[in-house]
Amino acid sequence: MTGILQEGLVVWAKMPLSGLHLFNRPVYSHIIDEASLKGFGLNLKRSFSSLSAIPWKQSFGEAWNLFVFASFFAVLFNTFYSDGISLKTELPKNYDFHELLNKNQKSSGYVGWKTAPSKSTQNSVAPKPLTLDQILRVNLVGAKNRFDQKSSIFLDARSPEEYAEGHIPGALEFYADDFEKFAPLVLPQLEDKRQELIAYCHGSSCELSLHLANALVAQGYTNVKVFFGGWPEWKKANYPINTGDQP
Amino acid sequence: MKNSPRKWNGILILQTFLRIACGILLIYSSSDKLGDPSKFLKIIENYHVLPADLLPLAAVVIPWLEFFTGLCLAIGFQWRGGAFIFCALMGIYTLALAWNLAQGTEMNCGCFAMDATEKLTGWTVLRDLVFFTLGLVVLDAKQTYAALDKK
Repeated sequence: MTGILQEGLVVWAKMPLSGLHLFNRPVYSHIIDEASLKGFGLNLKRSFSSLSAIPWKQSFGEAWNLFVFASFFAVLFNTFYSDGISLKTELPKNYDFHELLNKNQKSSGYVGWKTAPSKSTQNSVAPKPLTLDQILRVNLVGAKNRFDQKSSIFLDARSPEEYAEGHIPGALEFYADDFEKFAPLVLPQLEDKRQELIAYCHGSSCELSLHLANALVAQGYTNVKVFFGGWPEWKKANYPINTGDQP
Repeated sequence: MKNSPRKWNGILILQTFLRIACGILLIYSSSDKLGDPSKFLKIIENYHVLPADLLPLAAVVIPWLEFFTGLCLAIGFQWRGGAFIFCALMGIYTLALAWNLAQGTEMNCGCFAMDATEKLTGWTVLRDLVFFTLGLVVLDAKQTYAALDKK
């Protein structure tokens, strides 16, 4: 087998320069030529032109025409299509958080995604809770990268006791089972609704981070992700940790 | 059809086959996205590679661009332009996928069927890179068989 490969490489190296090249050698023309030698009867005299011989001007011109036509057609279709979307960017409308709190003082759980829109927010379409498959996740590498670059805000969805025992440095305490209590404390710190937020909890068996992510999406945050490996994975990797009730 | 090469040429046969295959691939890829721009908007939003202001327009245009490009490639009408756009799309997809993979983001690819749970992996990136290369092979063709274009 090695001999065949070596022989093949020698033949390949001796091939004349023509067609697509990689490291100054033809990429696939020799395969076709060999097939021809074996009697396929194909006229293979014309080798591949090099990439520089591609009529780029003609190709670009046709591509531009196609792009313009497709764009016009798409916009026109979208205008008259019953399921068309607005071409103007609209951030998800926010619920009036305090109003929701007042209406749900007695209820527990995650205000943002459990509450139906009231009359004053009837224009706001309540986002459907995202499922495990739909929510964006980051793995351990992604979480560490973001931690190192300080590009994201981590949110610890576990209980205050667990948070105090250890958490990712800088992570904000946001117990998902007590959203009403923590939301007024944490949300004012998250002014930029496009800021990347990463929720985590006990790991893949825990859904607190998913619930917190859904509640945040309902509050209008557009870049929420879940670190599903969570605290166990972070701790196992011996990455930095903080203890106590301060981030 | 009129200007199809007179002699059968193995390379042109290969390029013709690839042209039609790339066309069918794009038509198939666009078919699930055409009817549901809002869902496609959510998918491309997750990639975080386009400015927010451009997202709705991209969600509307990209599926139709894929469809018409696929159609042009399949029937051989303005196929050079089609191959050019095919390469551009695959190049952009490859970069976007690779960037998200490098960021450690675990997400659904949304590449062919939007509801499918195909996860973003290194293989997804490699696959798009292969598609990009195949597009280059089509673009490299001087002529092609079974095409409406006369040149």
